[in-house]
Amino acid sequence: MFRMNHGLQAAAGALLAAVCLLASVRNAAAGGLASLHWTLAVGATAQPSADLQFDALGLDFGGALNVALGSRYSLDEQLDVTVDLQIDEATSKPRGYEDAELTLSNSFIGPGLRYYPTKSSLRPFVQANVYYVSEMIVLEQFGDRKWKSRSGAGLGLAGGLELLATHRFSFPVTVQCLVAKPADNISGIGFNVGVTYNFRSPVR
Amino acid sequence: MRVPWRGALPPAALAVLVTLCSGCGSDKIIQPMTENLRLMVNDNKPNANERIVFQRSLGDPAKYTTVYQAADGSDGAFGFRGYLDSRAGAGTVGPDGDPAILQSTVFSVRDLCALTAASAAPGCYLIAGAHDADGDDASEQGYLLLLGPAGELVDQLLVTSDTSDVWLNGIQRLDDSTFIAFGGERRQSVAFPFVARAVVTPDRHVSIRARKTLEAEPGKWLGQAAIFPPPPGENGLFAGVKVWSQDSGERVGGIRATLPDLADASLEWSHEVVAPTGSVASLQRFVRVGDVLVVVGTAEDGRKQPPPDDAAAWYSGLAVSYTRAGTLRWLTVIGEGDNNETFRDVVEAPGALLAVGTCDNHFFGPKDGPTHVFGYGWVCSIDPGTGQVLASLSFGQDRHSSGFGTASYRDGRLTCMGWTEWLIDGDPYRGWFCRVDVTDLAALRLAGESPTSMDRAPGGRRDPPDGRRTPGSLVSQRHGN
Repeated sequence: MFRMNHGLQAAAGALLAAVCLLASVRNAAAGGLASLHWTLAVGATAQPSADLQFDALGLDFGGALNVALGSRYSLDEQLDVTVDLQIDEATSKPRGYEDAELTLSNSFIGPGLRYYPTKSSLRPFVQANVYYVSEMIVLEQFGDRKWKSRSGAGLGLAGGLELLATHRFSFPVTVQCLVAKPADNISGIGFNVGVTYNFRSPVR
Repeated sequence: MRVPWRGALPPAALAVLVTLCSGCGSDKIIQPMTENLRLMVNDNKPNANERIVFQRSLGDPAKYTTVYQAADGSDGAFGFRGYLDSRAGAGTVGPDGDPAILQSTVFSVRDLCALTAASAAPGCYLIAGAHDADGDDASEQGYLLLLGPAGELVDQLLVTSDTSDVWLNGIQRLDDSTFIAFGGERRQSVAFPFVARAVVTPDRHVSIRARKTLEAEPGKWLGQAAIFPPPPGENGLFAGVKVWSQDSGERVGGIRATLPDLADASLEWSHEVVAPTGSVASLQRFVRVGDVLVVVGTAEDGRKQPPPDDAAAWYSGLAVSYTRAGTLRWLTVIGEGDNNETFRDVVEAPGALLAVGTCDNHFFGPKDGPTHVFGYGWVCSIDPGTGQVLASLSFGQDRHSSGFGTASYRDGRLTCMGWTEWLIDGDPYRGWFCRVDVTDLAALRLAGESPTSMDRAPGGRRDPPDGRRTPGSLVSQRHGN
């Protein structure tokens, strides 16, 4: 029950932040500056925490595949409000149990702000998010499947470069730090590369 | 300038703080989940691991390594045939199992024997084999290969015929540098027994000096053999030999020939081996012990009930002995447990025959899960006079399958080689070099002690409701053609 309360608090906080930012978007849209952007990215995350390494079993979740889906709304040419979903997934086989496999899936969803200091076609950016985080571990062995999950809050800090290739498409390269400990310490540093569809060119 | 979104920042920042202050978890979930990992183990336990004085795993754990047969070298090392790191062929292994070196061969290696210290090529091994050149599952060419002490190829001789198919299944030493090869010759789809006399010359070459096809025995060909010294006053060749018959499968036979030209070579006798427990599955090794022939292999064992769901019967080890004239002395079917047992080799020790192979071999697993492989290396002490079982020793681990393919006896120690660390059907396994103490096996016989039975868990075998148990794999049923 205690864990559930933490998860609900995190979800409520993330939802409140999203509502506040969307309210501001509505105002911004009325001002005619708004533009919507969708981004799909893939990459990798290094999760160095000792919570994710089990030498005796040969288990190591230190390297995860990262998939990210994000939606941004430009408040002006330099500031965007974002809602991001990220999933880090790592699979490992325990030594001595060759027919067993454990998969750690960490999901991050939450709002953020992105700031572009310049207005050129190669735009550096920095971004901060607050996340509702879900950590789930799945064990599969002998055809059986067991899983357990915990949720909590997390923080994301990112920076990168976005190349405006056309009016509609841009290509962001992002380096990010995700901090979260819903149960185990799943914090990590990673990168991803993606493609963004812009409903209107972000630079005019 | 009016900036409409600025007013929303304070509540958003407040929301961020609320989220971050929601706390971090402290109860981990990954480590507790690992406690749900289950081990699949063999309920039957090995009973003689304390007798292991030395052991070593051979080969890359990610590849396939196994030793089918080994020959005692004159320098303390061993020659062997089998697989090393997923490569098939013949090689050498050091006196303590290291290094293991294998020479890949284009042909199927069927038998080998070591050259003596007094031979023309001390430390070498002579390998016999057959090659299926056209992929029709029948051999057309025979090979003799001279392998050096370091596993190197010294010489290779192709044994062929312009008008027929010739292949070799067995090789035996006649004297220090003379050998008899056994096999078959196929003429117009009819096979005949084939024997050849080969020599290793001082310049370390192999050559065939005489060859003979037993034209009076159509539909048969020869396999492994054991050569007997000639009777007093005679100077010919006599060998107990495995005889394949197109009509009745594997048989035990006796070959006689004059030397050195193999003239008048004939199959003096051949018998089908009839076991009281079921049909004979395979005859694996032929050994001369004194003036008698001992053969070991595998037979169905109808005493093990109920039979498996997907096979006619469980198997047990078979040992049978014949006189030189082909008279049956004794026959024993040895089934220690209720799973598969098989003998793959037999050696003579003071006061006892030591048959080696695999016991308690079976597959086990949930219906939709991976198939685990279990089994132990098996050493069975047999009274050479009566065939009575003196002791039954099992070696290995309850987590995976192990087995012995061959053995060599020296000074109270039995050096066994085979495979180990085979967990899942289809997965890799490693070679196993295992030396065990057998000094008191003859004493067991003298004291009249009963055979050692395998330890059994109370209540016997564990079968989960959704599990299945099937016979483990026996050695491949090679037809030798």
